Amino acid sequence: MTVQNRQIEVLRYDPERDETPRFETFTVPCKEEWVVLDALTYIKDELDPSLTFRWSCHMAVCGSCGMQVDNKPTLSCKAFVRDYGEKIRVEPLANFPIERDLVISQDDFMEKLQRGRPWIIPEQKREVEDGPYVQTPMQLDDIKEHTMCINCLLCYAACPVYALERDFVGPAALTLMYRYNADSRDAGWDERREVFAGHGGVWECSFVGACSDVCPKHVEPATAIQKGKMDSAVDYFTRFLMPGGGK
Amino acid sequence: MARRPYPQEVDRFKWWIADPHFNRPYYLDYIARESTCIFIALYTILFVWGLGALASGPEAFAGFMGAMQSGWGLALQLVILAFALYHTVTWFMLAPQGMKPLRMKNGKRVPATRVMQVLYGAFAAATVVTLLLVWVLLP
Amino acid sequence: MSSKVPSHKPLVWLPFAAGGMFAALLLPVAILLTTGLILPDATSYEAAHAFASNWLGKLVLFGFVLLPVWHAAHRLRVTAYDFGVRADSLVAWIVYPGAALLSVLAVVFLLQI
Repeated sequence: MTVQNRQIEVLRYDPERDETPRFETFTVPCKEEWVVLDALTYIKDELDPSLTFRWSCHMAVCGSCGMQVDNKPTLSCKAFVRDYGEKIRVEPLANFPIERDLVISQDDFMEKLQRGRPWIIPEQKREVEDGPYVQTPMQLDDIKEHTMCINCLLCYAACPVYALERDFVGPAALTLMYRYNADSRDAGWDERREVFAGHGGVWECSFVGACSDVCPKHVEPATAIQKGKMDSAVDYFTRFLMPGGGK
Repeated sequence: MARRPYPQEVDRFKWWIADPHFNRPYYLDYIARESTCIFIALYTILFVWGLGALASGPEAFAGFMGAMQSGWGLALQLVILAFALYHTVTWFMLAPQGMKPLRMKNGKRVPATRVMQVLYGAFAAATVVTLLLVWVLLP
Repeated sequence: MSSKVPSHKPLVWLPFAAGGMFAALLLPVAILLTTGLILPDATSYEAAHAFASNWLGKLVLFGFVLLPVWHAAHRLRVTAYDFGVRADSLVAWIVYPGAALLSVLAVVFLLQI
Protein backbone atom coordinates (compact mmCIF):
# COMPACT_ATOMS: atom_id res chain seq x y z
CA MET A 1 0.00 0.00 0.00
CA THR A 2 1.56 3.24 -1.13
CA VAL A 3 1.55 6.32 1.07
CA GLN A 4 2.19 9.72 -0.42
CA ASN A 5 2.48 13.11 1.26
CA ARG A 6 -0.03 15.69 0.11
CA GLN A 7 -0.36 19.31 1.03
CA ILE A 8 -3.92 19.88 2.18
CA GLU A 9 -4.68 23.58 2.12
CA VAL A 10 -7.72 24.15 4.32
CA LEU A 11 -9.73 27.31 4.80
CA ARG A 12 -9.96 28.03 8.52
CA TYR A 13 -12.37 30.37 10.25
CA ASP A 14 -12.84 30.64 13.98
CA PRO A 15 -15.76 33.00 14.64
CA GLU A 16 -14.38 33.77 18.11
CA ARG A 17 -10.91 34.75 16.96
CA ASP A 18 -10.73 35.41 13.21
CA GLU A 19 -11.99 38.52 11.49
CA THR A 20 -11.68 36.84 8.10
CA PRO A 21 -11.01 33.25 7.00
CA ARG A 22 -7.41 32.19 6.35
CA PHE A 23 -5.71 29.21 4.74
CA GLU A 24 -3.72 26.68 6.73
CA THR A 25 -1.66 23.98 5.05
CA PHE A 26 -1.19 20.51 6.51
CA THR A 27 1.10 17.80 5.24
CA VAL A 28 -0.84 14.56 5.26
CA PRO A 29 0.55 11.08 4.48
CA CYS A 30 -2.31 9.87 2.26
CA LYS A 31 -2.90 6.24 1.44
CA GLU A 32 -3.73 5.45 -2.15
CA GLU A 33 -7.38 4.66 -1.54
CA TRP A 34 -8.02 7.73 0.60
CA VAL A 35 -10.62 10.34 -0.20
CA VAL A 36 -10.29 13.98 0.83
CA LEU A 37 -12.54 13.28 3.83
CA ASP A 38 -9.97 10.73 5.08
CA ALA A 39 -7.24 13.34 4.84
CA LEU A 40 -9.36 15.77 6.87
CA THR A 41 -10.05 13.08 9.46
CA TYR A 42 -6.29 12.46 9.68
CA ILE A 43 -5.72 16.17 10.31
CA LYS A 44 -8.35 16.21 13.04
CA ASP A 45 -7.06 13.03 14.71
CA GLU A 46 -3.32 13.63 14.40
CA LEU A 47 -2.53 17.27 13.69
CA ASP A 48 -5.21 19.70 14.83
CA PRO A 49 -8.30 18.50 16.73
CA SER A 50 -9.93 21.89 16.35
CA LEU A 51 -10.49 21.43 12.60
CA THR A 52 -14.27 21.46 12.11
CA PHE A 53 -16.17 19.74 9.31
CA ARG A 54 -19.38 17.80 8.83
CA TRP A 55 -19.59 14.19 7.77
CA SER A 56 -21.56 11.11 8.58
CA CYS A 57 -21.78 8.16 6.21
CA HIS A 58 -18.53 8.25 4.21
CA MET A 59 -20.41 6.70 1.26
CA ALA A 60 -22.20 9.51 -0.62
CA VAL A 61 -25.58 8.87 0.94
CA CYS A 62 -25.94 11.33 3.81
CA GLY A 63 -25.00 14.52 1.96
CA SER A 64 -23.13 16.06 4.90
CA CYS A 65 -19.57 16.40 3.64
CA GLY A 66 -19.99 18.78 0.70
CA MET A 67 -17.01 21.13 0.25
CA GLN A 68 -15.16 23.02 -2.42
CA VAL A 69 -12.30 20.71 -3.39
CA ASP A 70 -9.93 22.55 -5.73
CA ASN A 71 -12.70 25.09 -6.26
CA LYS A 72 -15.39 22.61 -7.27
CA PRO A 73 -18.39 21.74 -5.11
CA THR A 74 -17.76 18.08 -4.25
CA LEU A 75 -18.67 15.44 -1.69
CA SER A 76 -15.33 15.01 0.06
CA CYS A 77 -16.12 11.32 0.60
CA LYS A 78 -16.24 10.86 -3.18
CA ALA A 79 -13.12 12.89 -3.99
CA PHE A 80 -10.20 10.48 -4.27
CA VAL A 81 -6.93 12.10 -3.27
CA ARG A 82 -5.13 10.27 -6.09
CA ASP A 83 -7.23 12.18 -8.65
CA TYR A 84 -5.80 15.49 -7.44
CA GLY A 85 -2.35 17.08 -7.44
CA GLU A 86 0.35 17.40 -4.77
CA LYS A 87 -1.59 20.25 -3.26
CA ILE A 88 -5.32 20.06 -2.65
CA ARG A 89 -7.30 23.12 -1.65
CA VAL A 90 -10.33 22.46 0.55
CA GLU A 91 -12.85 25.23 1.31
CA PRO A 92 -16.38 25.38 2.67
CA LEU A 93 -19.17 25.27 0.08
CA ALA A 94 -19.39 28.51 -1.86
CA ASN A 95 -22.29 30.95 -1.52
CA PHE A 96 -23.16 29.97 2.07
CA PRO A 97 -22.07 31.83 5.22
CA ILE A 98 -19.16 30.06 6.94
CA GLU A 99 -20.06 28.94 10.46
CA ARG A 100 -16.62 27.60 11.37
CA ASP A 101 -13.81 26.16 9.20
CA LEU A 102 -15.51 23.91 6.62
CA VAL A 103 -18.96 24.09 8.16
CA ILE A 104 -21.48 26.35 6.46
CA SER A 105 -24.79 27.70 7.70
CA GLN A 106 -27.74 25.87 6.14
CA ASP A 107 -30.36 28.19 7.67
CA ASP A 108 -31.35 29.84 4.39
CA PHE A 109 -31.79 26.52 2.59
CA MET A 110 -33.75 24.94 5.44
CA GLU A 111 -36.15 27.87 5.53
CA LYS A 112 -36.70 27.72 1.75
CA LEU A 113 -37.03 23.94 1.73
CA GLN A 114 -39.87 24.12 4.26
CA ARG A 115 -41.63 26.93 2.44
CA GLY A 116 -41.77 24.65 -0.60
CA ARG A 117 -43.87 22.01 1.20
CA PRO A 118 -41.91 19.06 -0.17
CA TRP A 119 -44.30 16.33 0.83
CA ILE A 120 -47.34 14.70 -0.74
CA ILE A 121 -50.42 16.88 -0.51
CA PRO A 122 -53.15 14.50 -1.68
CA GLU A 123 -56.43 15.44 -3.29
CA GLN A 124 -58.19 13.24 -0.79
CA LYS A 125 -56.47 12.20 2.41
CA ARG A 126 -56.40 8.44 2.90
CA GLU A 127 -56.66 6.84 6.32
CA VAL A 128 -54.44 3.92 7.28
CA GLU A 129 -57.22 1.40 6.61
CA ASP A 130 -57.65 2.85 3.07
CA GLY A 131 -54.21 1.54 2.19
CA PRO A 132 -51.27 3.38 0.61
CA TYR A 133 -51.33 5.95 -2.17
CA VAL A 134 -50.50 3.87 -5.21
CA GLN A 135 -48.44 4.77 -8.24
CA THR A 136 -47.48 2.83 -11.35
CA PRO A 137 -43.80 2.23 -12.17
CA MET A 138 -44.23 4.51 -15.21
CA GLN A 139 -45.63 7.33 -13.09
CA LEU A 140 -42.65 6.96 -10.77
CA ASP A 141 -40.27 6.89 -13.72
CA ASP A 142 -41.49 10.35 -14.79
CA ILE A 143 -39.94 11.86 -11.66
CA LYS A 144 -37.50 9.17 -10.51
CA GLU A 145 -34.23 11.07 -10.87
CA HIS A 146 -35.66 14.14 -9.12
CA THR A 147 -36.47 12.05 -6.03
CA MET A 148 -32.86 11.10 -5.33
CA CYS A 149 -31.76 14.37 -3.67
CA ILE A 150 -29.66 14.05 -0.50
CA ASN A 151 -29.71 17.80 0.31
CA CYS A 152 -25.93 18.07 0.08
CA LEU A 153 -26.22 21.64 -1.27
CA LEU A 154 -23.51 21.25 -3.92
CA CYS A 155 -25.99 22.66 -6.44
CA TYR A 156 -26.38 25.88 -4.45
CA ALA A 157 -22.61 26.28 -4.31
CA ALA A 158 -22.47 25.86 -8.11
CA CYS A 159 -25.37 28.18 -8.89
CA PRO A 160 -24.47 31.75 -9.89
CA VAL A 161 -28.12 32.79 -9.71
CA TYR A 162 -28.21 31.86 -6.02
CA ALA A 163 -24.91 33.68 -5.53
CA LEU A 164 -26.28 36.87 -7.08
CA GLU A 165 -29.93 36.72 -6.00
CA ARG A 166 -30.39 35.55 -2.42
CA ASP A 167 -34.17 35.35 -2.74
CA PHE A 168 -33.77 32.53 -5.28
CA VAL A 169 -35.30 29.40 -3.77
CA GLY A 170 -32.51 27.47 -5.49
CA PRO A 171 -31.93 24.20 -7.34
CA ALA A 172 -32.53 21.50 -4.71
CA ALA A 173 -35.63 23.03 -3.11
CA LEU A 174 -37.25 23.85 -6.47
CA THR A 175 -36.44 20.38 -7.76
CA LEU A 176 -38.11 18.81 -4.77
CA MET A 177 -41.14 21.04 -5.29
CA TYR A 178 -41.27 19.99 -8.95
CA ARG A 179 -40.92 16.38 -7.89
CA TYR A 180 -44.06 16.65 -5.73
CA ASN A 181 -45.98 18.84 -8.16
CA ALA A 182 -45.38 16.23 -10.86
CA ASP A 183 -46.09 13.26 -8.59
CA SER A 184 -49.23 11.43 -9.69
CA ARG A 185 -50.40 11.19 -6.06
CA ASP A 186 -50.05 14.90 -5.36
CA ALA A 187 -52.53 17.76 -5.70
CA GLY A 188 -50.54 20.50 -3.97
CA TRP A 189 -49.82 22.77 -6.94
CA ASP A 190 -52.00 25.61 -5.61
CA GLU A 191 -50.27 25.57 -2.24
CA ARG A 192 -46.83 25.64 -3.79
CA ARG A 193 -47.58 28.12 -6.56
CA GLU A 194 -46.41 31.28 -4.81
CA VAL A 195 -43.02 29.88 -3.85
CA PHE A 196 -42.56 27.86 -7.05
CA ALA A 197 -43.70 30.40 -9.64
CA GLY A 198 -43.56 33.67 -7.72
CA HIS A 199 -40.63 35.92 -6.81
CA GLY A 200 -37.55 33.76 -6.20
CA GLY A 201 -39.10 30.75 -7.92
CA VAL A 202 -38.32 28.91 -11.15
CA TRP A 203 -38.36 32.10 -13.23
CA GLU A 204 -35.17 33.38 -11.60
CA CYS A 205 -33.27 30.41 -13.09
CA SER A 206 -31.39 31.24 -16.27
CA PHE A 207 -30.41 27.62 -17.01
CA VAL A 208 -26.68 27.78 -16.47
CA GLY A 209 -26.80 24.05 -15.83
CA ALA A 210 -23.91 23.83 -13.35
CA CYS A 211 -26.24 22.40 -10.66
CA SER A 212 -26.81 19.26 -12.72
CA ASP A 213 -23.09 18.98 -13.38
CA VAL A 214 -22.04 18.91 -9.71
CA CYS A 215 -24.96 16.82 -8.43
CA PRO A 216 -23.54 13.55 -6.98
CA LYS A 217 -26.90 11.80 -7.33
CA HIS A 218 -27.78 12.83 -10.91
CA VAL A 219 -30.93 14.54 -9.70
CA GLU A 220 -30.83 16.89 -12.74
CA PRO A 221 -32.09 20.02 -10.97
CA ALA A 222 -31.67 22.11 -14.15
CA THR A 223 -34.07 19.82 -16.02
CA ALA A 224 -36.61 19.82 -13.18
CA ILE A 225 -36.62 23.62 -13.08
CA GLN A 226 -37.06 24.01 -16.86
CA LYS A 227 -39.93 21.51 -16.81
CA GLY A 228 -41.34 23.49 -13.89
CA LYS A 229 -41.20 26.65 -16.01
CA MET A 230 -43.28 24.99 -18.70
CA ASP A 231 -45.83 23.74 -16.16
CA SER A 232 -45.96 27.19 -14.55
CA ALA A 233 -46.47 28.85 -17.93
CA VAL A 234 -49.37 26.51 -18.71
CA ASP A 235 -50.80 27.16 -15.25
CA TYR A 236 -50.38 30.91 -15.70
CA PHE A 237 -52.21 31.07 -18.99
CA THR A 238 -55.03 28.73 -18.03
CA ARG A 239 -55.49 30.54 -14.75
CA PHE A 240 -55.26 34.19 -15.68
CA LEU A 241 -55.98 34.51 -19.35
CA MET A 242 -58.63 31.92 -20.07
CA PRO A 243 -62.11 32.99 -19.00
CA GLY A 244 -63.08 31.00 -15.91
CA GLY A 245 -59.85 29.03 -16.10
CA GLY A 246 -58.81 29.65 -12.49
CA LYS A 247 -58.51 26.49 -10.43
CA MET B 1 -20.66 31.05 22.12
CA ALA B 2 -22.34 33.43 19.79
CA ARG B 3 -22.60 32.57 16.13
CA ARG B 4 -20.79 34.88 13.79
CA PRO B 5 -21.20 33.40 10.29
CA TYR B 6 -18.83 34.81 7.70
CA PRO B 7 -20.73 35.69 4.51
CA GLN B 8 -19.36 34.50 1.17
CA GLU B 9 -20.22 36.93 -1.60
CA VAL B 10 -19.39 36.99 -5.31
CA ASP B 11 -18.53 40.00 -7.45
CA ARG B 12 -21.65 40.73 -9.44
CA PHE B 13 -19.69 42.10 -12.41
CA LYS B 14 -16.94 39.49 -12.61
CA TRP B 15 -18.51 36.29 -11.22
CA TRP B 16 -18.50 34.57 -14.61
CA ILE B 17 -14.76 35.10 -15.10
CA ALA B 18 -14.07 33.13 -11.92
CA ASP B 19 -13.19 29.58 -12.75
CA PRO B 20 -14.83 26.92 -10.64
CA HIS B 21 -13.49 23.60 -11.88
CA PHE B 22 -16.60 22.01 -13.29
CA ASN B 23 -16.42 19.39 -16.01
CA ARG B 24 -16.56 22.24 -18.46
CA PRO B 25 -16.30 26.02 -17.96
CA TYR B 26 -20.02 26.45 -17.24
CA TYR B 27 -20.03 30.14 -16.43
CA LEU B 28 -18.01 31.15 -19.48
CA ASP B 29 -20.03 28.83 -21.74
CA TYR B 30 -23.19 30.31 -20.32
CA ILE B 31 -22.11 33.91 -20.92
CA ALA B 32 -20.98 33.03 -24.46
CA ARG B 33 -24.33 31.37 -25.17
CA GLU B 34 -26.35 34.28 -23.75
CA SER B 35 -24.25 36.84 -25.62
CA THR B 36 -25.48 35.46 -28.95
CA CYS B 37 -28.64 37.51 -28.32
CA ILE B 38 -26.70 40.73 -28.89
CA PHE B 39 -25.94 39.62 -32.45
CA ILE B 40 -29.43 38.28 -33.06
CA ALA B 41 -30.85 41.62 -31.89
CA LEU B 42 -28.42 43.42 -34.19
CA TYR B 43 -29.51 41.30 -37.13
CA THR B 44 -33.20 41.96 -36.55
CA ILE B 45 -32.44 45.71 -36.50
CA LEU B 46 -30.63 45.33 -39.85
CA PHE B 47 -33.52 43.23 -41.13
CA VAL B 48 -36.15 45.86 -40.24
CA TRP B 49 -33.89 48.51 -41.74
CA GLY B 50 -33.82 46.46 -44.92
CA LEU B 51 -37.62 46.21 -44.94
CA GLY B 52 -37.73 50.01 -44.62
CA ALA B 53 -35.38 50.34 -47.59
CA LEU B 54 -37.48 47.88 -49.57
CA ALA B 55 -40.57 49.99 -48.85
CA SER B 56 -38.76 53.18 -49.91
CA GLY B 57 -37.96 51.97 -53.42
CA PRO B 58 -35.29 50.46 -55.67
CA GLU B 59 -32.53 53.01 -55.00
CA ALA B 60 -32.85 52.83 -51.23
CA PHE B 61 -32.89 49.02 -51.32
CA ALA B 62 -29.91 48.84 -53.67
CA GLY B 63 -28.06 51.18 -51.34
CA PHE B 64 -28.92 49.06 -48.30
CA MET B 65 -27.97 45.77 -49.94
CA GLY B 66 -24.83 47.33 -51.35
CA ALA B 67 -23.76 48.25 -47.82
CA MET B 68 -24.75 44.83 -46.46
CA GLN B 69 -22.76 43.05 -49.14
CA SER B 70 -19.73 45.35 -49.10
CA GLY B 71 -16.57 44.23 -47.33
CA TRP B 72 -17.55 45.54 -43.89
CA GLY B 73 -21.21 44.60 -44.21
CA LEU B 74 -20.24 41.10 -45.24
CA ALA B 75 -17.73 40.78 -42.42
CA LEU B 76 -20.38 41.90 -39.92
CA GLN B 77 -22.89 39.42 -41.29
CA LEU B 78 -20.37 36.59 -41.13
CA VAL B 79 -19.72 37.40 -37.47
CA ILE B 80 -23.49 37.44 -36.88
CA LEU B 81 -23.77 34.12 -38.74
CA ALA B 82 -21.10 32.58 -36.52
CA PHE B 83 -22.98 33.65 -33.37
CA ALA B 84 -26.31 32.51 -34.86
CA LEU B 85 -24.81 29.07 -35.50
CA TYR B 86 -23.44 29.05 -31.96
CA HIS B 87 -26.94 29.83 -30.76
CA THR B 88 -28.25 26.88 -32.79
CA VAL B 89 -25.69 24.49 -31.32
CA THR B 90 -26.20 25.60 -27.71
CA TRP B 91 -29.99 25.74 -28.08
CA PHE B 92 -30.09 22.17 -29.36
CA MET B 93 -27.76 21.10 -26.57
CA LEU B 94 -30.12 22.56 -23.92
CA ALA B 95 -33.42 21.51 -25.51
CA PRO B 96 -33.41 17.83 -24.45
CA GLN B 97 -32.29 18.85 -20.94
CA GLY B 98 -35.16 21.27 -20.59
CA MET B 99 -38.13 19.18 -21.57
CA LYS B 100 -40.17 16.28 -20.30
CA PRO B 101 -38.85 12.98 -21.56
CA LEU B 102 -40.49 11.66 -24.71
CA ARG B 103 -41.34 8.00 -24.58
CA MET B 104 -40.96 5.27 -27.13
CA LYS B 105 -43.67 2.67 -27.75
CA ASN B 106 -42.16 0.33 -25.19
CA GLY B 107 -42.30 3.06 -22.53
CA LYS B 108 -38.56 3.72 -22.50
CA ARG B 109 -37.37 7.32 -22.66
CA VAL B 110 -36.13 8.68 -25.96
CA PRO B 111 -32.43 9.40 -25.26
CA ALA B 112 -31.23 13.02 -25.35
CA THR B 113 -28.86 12.24 -28.22
CA ARG B 114 -31.81 11.12 -30.35
CA VAL B 115 -33.69 14.36 -29.57
CA MET B 116 -30.61 16.32 -30.66
CA GLN B 117 -30.34 14.28 -33.86
CA VAL B 118 -33.96 15.12 -34.68
CA LEU B 119 -33.31 18.82 -34.02
CA TYR B 120 -30.24 18.85 -36.25
CA GLY B 121 -32.24 17.01 -38.88
CA ALA B 122 -34.94 19.67 -38.66
CA PHE B 123 -32.27 22.36 -38.93
CA ALA B 124 -30.81 20.78 -42.07
CA ALA B 125 -34.28 20.30 -43.57
CA ALA B 126 -35.34 23.89 -42.78
CA THR B 127 -32.15 25.22 -44.36
CA VAL B 128 -32.42 23.13 -47.51
CA VAL B 129 -36.16 23.71 -47.96
CA THR B 130 -35.72 27.46 -47.52
CA LEU B 131 -32.94 27.57 -50.11
CA LEU B 132 -34.99 25.44 -52.52
CA LEU B 133 -38.08 27.62 -52.08
CA VAL B 134 -36.09 30.79 -52.68
CA TRP B 135 -34.50 29.19 -55.77
CA VAL B 136 -37.90 28.13 -57.13
CA LEU B 137 -39.50 31.52 -56.42
CA LEU B 138 -36.71 33.50 -58.11
CA PRO B 139 -38.00 35.15 -61.28
CA MET C 1 -55.13 28.67 -0.86
CA SER C 2 -53.66 31.83 -2.25
CA SER C 3 -55.06 33.51 -5.32
CA LYS C 4 -52.08 35.88 -5.52
CA VAL C 5 -50.77 36.38 -9.01
CA PRO C 6 -47.47 34.58 -9.48
CA SER C 7 -44.70 35.94 -11.66
CA HIS C 8 -45.75 37.33 -15.05
CA LYS C 9 -42.57 35.93 -16.61
CA PRO C 10 -44.50 33.38 -18.74
CA LEU C 11 -45.69 36.30 -20.87
CA VAL C 12 -42.13 37.01 -21.97
CA TRP C 13 -40.68 33.54 -21.54
CA LEU C 14 -42.90 31.73 -24.04
CA PRO C 15 -42.05 34.18 -26.88
CA PHE C 16 -38.41 33.85 -25.78
CA ALA C 17 -38.52 30.08 -26.06
CA ALA C 18 -40.47 30.08 -29.33
CA GLY C 19 -38.16 32.72 -30.81
CA GLY C 20 -35.11 30.81 -29.65
CA MET C 21 -36.23 27.67 -31.46
CA PHE C 22 -37.18 29.63 -34.58
CA ALA C 23 -33.83 31.45 -34.60
CA ALA C 24 -31.94 28.20 -34.04
CA LEU C 25 -33.66 26.55 -37.01
CA LEU C 26 -33.95 29.37 -39.52
CA LEU C 27 -31.76 32.37 -38.75
CA PRO C 28 -28.50 30.94 -40.16
CA VAL C 29 -30.03 30.34 -43.59
CA ALA C 30 -31.62 33.80 -43.56
CA ILE C 31 -28.26 35.41 -42.82
CA LEU C 32 -26.62 33.26 -45.47
CA LEU C 33 -29.14 34.60 -48.00
CA THR C 34 -28.76 38.27 -47.07
CA THR C 35 -24.97 38.03 -47.37
CA GLY C 36 -25.56 37.31 -51.05
CA LEU C 37 -22.96 34.52 -50.89
CA ILE C 38 -25.59 32.06 -52.06
CA LEU C 39 -28.43 32.75 -54.55
CA PRO C 40 -27.37 36.42 -54.85
CA ASP C 41 -30.38 37.19 -57.07
CA ALA C 42 -32.65 36.72 -54.06
CA THR C 43 -31.44 40.03 -52.63
CA SER C 44 -32.20 42.00 -55.77
CA TYR C 45 -34.91 44.66 -55.45
CA GLU C 46 -37.19 42.86 -57.92
CA ALA C 47 -37.03 39.51 -56.16
CA ALA C 48 -37.36 40.95 -52.65
CA HIS C 49 -40.19 43.22 -53.71
CA ALA C 50 -42.06 40.44 -55.47
CA PHE C 51 -41.74 38.23 -52.38
CA ALA C 52 -42.91 40.96 -50.02
CA SER C 53 -45.81 41.91 -52.26
CA ASN C 54 -48.06 39.02 -51.37
CA TRP C 55 -49.52 38.31 -47.97
CA LEU C 56 -47.76 35.04 -47.38
CA GLY C 57 -44.40 36.67 -48.11
CA LYS C 58 -45.20 39.54 -45.77
CA LEU C 59 -46.12 37.06 -43.05
CA VAL C 60 -42.88 35.13 -43.49
CA LEU C 61 -40.76 38.30 -43.39
CA PHE C 62 -42.68 39.49 -40.32
CA GLY C 63 -41.98 36.16 -38.64
CA PHE C 64 -38.25 36.67 -39.20
CA VAL C 65 -38.51 39.90 -37.21
CA LEU C 66 -41.10 39.07 -34.57
CA LEU C 67 -39.77 35.77 -33.25
CA PRO C 68 -36.02 36.49 -33.07
CA VAL C 69 -36.52 40.01 -31.72
CA TRP C 70 -38.57 38.85 -28.71
CA HIS C 71 -36.10 36.06 -28.09
CA ALA C 72 -33.20 38.49 -28.16
CA ALA C 73 -35.00 41.10 -26.05
CA HIS C 74 -35.67 38.72 -23.18
CA ARG C 75 -32.18 37.28 -23.28
CA LEU C 76 -30.69 40.79 -23.35
CA ARG C 77 -32.56 41.51 -20.13
CA VAL C 78 -31.13 38.41 -18.46
CA THR C 79 -27.67 39.12 -19.85
CA ALA C 80 -27.74 42.68 -18.49
CA TYR C 81 -28.41 41.23 -15.04
CA ASP C 82 -25.62 38.71 -15.49
CA PHE C 83 -23.19 41.51 -16.30
CA GLY C 84 -24.09 43.21 -13.04
CA VAL C 85 -26.77 45.68 -14.13
CA ARG C 86 -29.22 45.56 -11.24
CA ALA C 87 -31.81 47.96 -12.68
CA ASP C 88 -33.87 45.03 -13.96
CA SER C 89 -37.14 46.97 -14.33
CA LEU C 90 -35.40 49.74 -16.25
CA VAL C 91 -33.76 47.19 -18.55
CA ALA C 92 -37.14 45.51 -19.07
CA TRP C 93 -38.60 48.90 -19.95
CA ILE C 94 -35.94 49.31 -22.62
CA VAL C 95 -35.74 45.87 -24.22
CA TYR C 96 -39.44 44.93 -24.46
CA PRO C 97 -40.66 48.28 -25.86
CA GLY C 98 -37.62 48.14 -28.16
CA ALA C 99 -38.75 44.76 -29.45
CA ALA C 100 -42.31 46.07 -29.78
CA LEU C 101 -41.06 49.08 -31.74
CA LEU C 102 -39.12 46.89 -34.17
CA SER C 103 -42.14 44.60 -34.59
CA VAL C 104 -44.44 47.55 -35.32
CA LEU C 105 -41.92 49.12 -37.70
CA ALA C 106 -41.73 45.81 -39.57
CA VAL C 107 -45.53 45.79 -39.97
CA VAL C 108 -45.58 49.42 -41.13
CA PHE C 109 -42.85 48.83 -43.71
CA LEU C 110 -44.38 45.57 -44.95
CA LEU C 111 -47.75 47.26 -45.42
CA GLN C 112 -46.09 49.95 -47.55
CA ILE C 113 -44.66 47.38 -49.95
